[in-house]
Amino acid sequence: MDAGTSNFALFFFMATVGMLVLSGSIILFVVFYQKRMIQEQLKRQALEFEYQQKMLQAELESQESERRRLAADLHDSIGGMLSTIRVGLITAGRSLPDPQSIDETKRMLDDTISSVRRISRDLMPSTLEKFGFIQAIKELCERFQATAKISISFSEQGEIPTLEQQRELMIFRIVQELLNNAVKHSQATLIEVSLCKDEHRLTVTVKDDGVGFDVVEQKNDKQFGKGLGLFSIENRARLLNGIVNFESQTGRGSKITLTLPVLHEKTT
Amino acid sequence: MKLELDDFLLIFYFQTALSALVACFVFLRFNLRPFYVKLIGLSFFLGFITHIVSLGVDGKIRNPIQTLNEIINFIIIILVYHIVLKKKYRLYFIITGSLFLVFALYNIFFFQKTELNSYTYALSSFLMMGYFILYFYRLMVELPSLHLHRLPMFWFNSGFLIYRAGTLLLFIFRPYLIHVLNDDLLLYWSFHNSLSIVEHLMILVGLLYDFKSVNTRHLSRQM
Repeated sequence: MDAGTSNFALFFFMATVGMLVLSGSIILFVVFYQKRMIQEQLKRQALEFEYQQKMLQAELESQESERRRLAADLHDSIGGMLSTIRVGLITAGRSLPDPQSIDETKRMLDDTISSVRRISRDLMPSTLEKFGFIQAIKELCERFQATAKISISFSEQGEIPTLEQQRELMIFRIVQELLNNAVKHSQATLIEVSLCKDEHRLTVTVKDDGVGFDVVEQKNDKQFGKGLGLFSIENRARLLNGIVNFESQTGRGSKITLTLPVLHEKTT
Repeated sequence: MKLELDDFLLIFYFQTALSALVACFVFLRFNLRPFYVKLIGLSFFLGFITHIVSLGVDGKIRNPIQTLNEIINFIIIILVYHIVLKKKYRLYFIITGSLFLVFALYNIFFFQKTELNSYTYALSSFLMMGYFILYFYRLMVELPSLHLHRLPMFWFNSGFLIYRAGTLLLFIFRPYLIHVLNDDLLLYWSFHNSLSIVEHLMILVGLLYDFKSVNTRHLSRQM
C-alpha cells in the first residue's frame, strides 16, 4: 500500500468515524435535551397547578369567612333585634284591649325569626364547628328531610376520624350541594347519605332514586350557572386531593361518590 | 487487513435475512400498523428482493436494479417523513424529491449508466440526512414523549441516520475505491453491510415498540 493510498484510507476512516460520532451525538443530544425540556415543562405545570390550587383555596376560604361573618351578623344582630322586637310586641300586646289582634303579626315575626335562624345555620352551621362534620351532615339530612318531605337516610361505617376544620367544612359543603341538587332537581323519594372509612380512604356517597341527569351535559352546561354546582364540587374535591365520581343516567337515579385520602387525622 | 469472500458473503446473507425479518415483522398485525410503518416494511421488502435478485445476475443488470431500488427507497422515505412530520414540509419534500429524481435519471442515462450509481446513493443519503435531522428538530420542538425510546419512529430515524451518515463517504468515494483500492473493496463493503445490520437491528427495535402499542390497542378493542 503506497503513501497516497494509506493516507486516503486514514482520511476515509477518520471522516467516517467522525460522521458516525456526529450522528450518535445528535441522537444523544435529542434524547437528553428533550428529556430535560419535558421535565422542566412538567415542573412548570406542577407550579401552575399549585398556584391554581392556592388561588382556589384562597377564594373558597374568603367565601367561607364571608359566610361566617354574614351568619354571625344575621344570628347575633338581626336575630337578636327580632327577638327583642318579639318581647316588646308581646309586652305591648298585653296592654291592648284585644291582645289576639296581634297574633298574626306575632306569627309572622316568629316565621321571620326562624327563617333568619335557618339562613344563618345554612351559611355556617354551628354544629360543624362544635361537634364536627359527621354530626353536621346528620343534622343537615334531618333538616332537609323535615323541609323537603323526602326520606333521607344517613349511615356511617368504620371509625371516621376527625379531620382538619377546613377539610371538614369542604366535605360538608359538598354534601350540602349534593343534597340541595337532589332535593331541587331529582324528584327523588329516597336519598341515602353514607360515610365509609377504610384503611386510608374516606368515602362519602349520596345516592337517590330520582330522575337522574346527563353528567356530561350537566358539566358542560355553564349557562345560567347550571353546571357550576358540579364544578364547585369538583373544585372542592380537588382541594381535598380527592376524586368525585358522578354516576347517573336519565330515569335511573344518581350516585355521587367522593373518595378522599385521610392523611390529616387529628389525634384527639 | 484482508477479508475473505466467505466472510463477506456471511455478513451479506445476514443482512439479507434481517431485511426479510423486518418485512415479515411488519406483517404482524399489518392492518393495525400505521401507514408509515407499512411503508418502511415495503422499503425493506424491496431491499430483500433486490438482494436476492442481485445474487443471481450479472453486474450490468444488478447495478440498475439496485439503483432503481434506491430511487424507490428515496420516494418511500419522502412519503414516510411527509406523514410523520404531519405534512408540514410538503414544499421542501417536493423540491428535494424532484431534484433527486432529475439527478438520478441523468446519472442513469448519461453519467454512471450501468455502473452502480454511487453518486445517486450519495445524494439520496445527503438529502435523507436532512429529513432525519428535521425529524429530530421537530421532536425537540413538539416534545411528544418523556421516553423517546418508546417512540418507534425515534428508532427508525436513528437507524436511518447512523446508516446514512456512516456510508455517505463510502458512496462518494466508491469509484475511487473500485479503481484504486480494489483489493480492499470487500473490507469496505463489509463495513457498509455491518452498518446496514446495525440499521436493521434499530429498525427491529422500533418495530417491536410499534407492535407493542398496536397489540395493546388490539387487545383493548377486543375487551
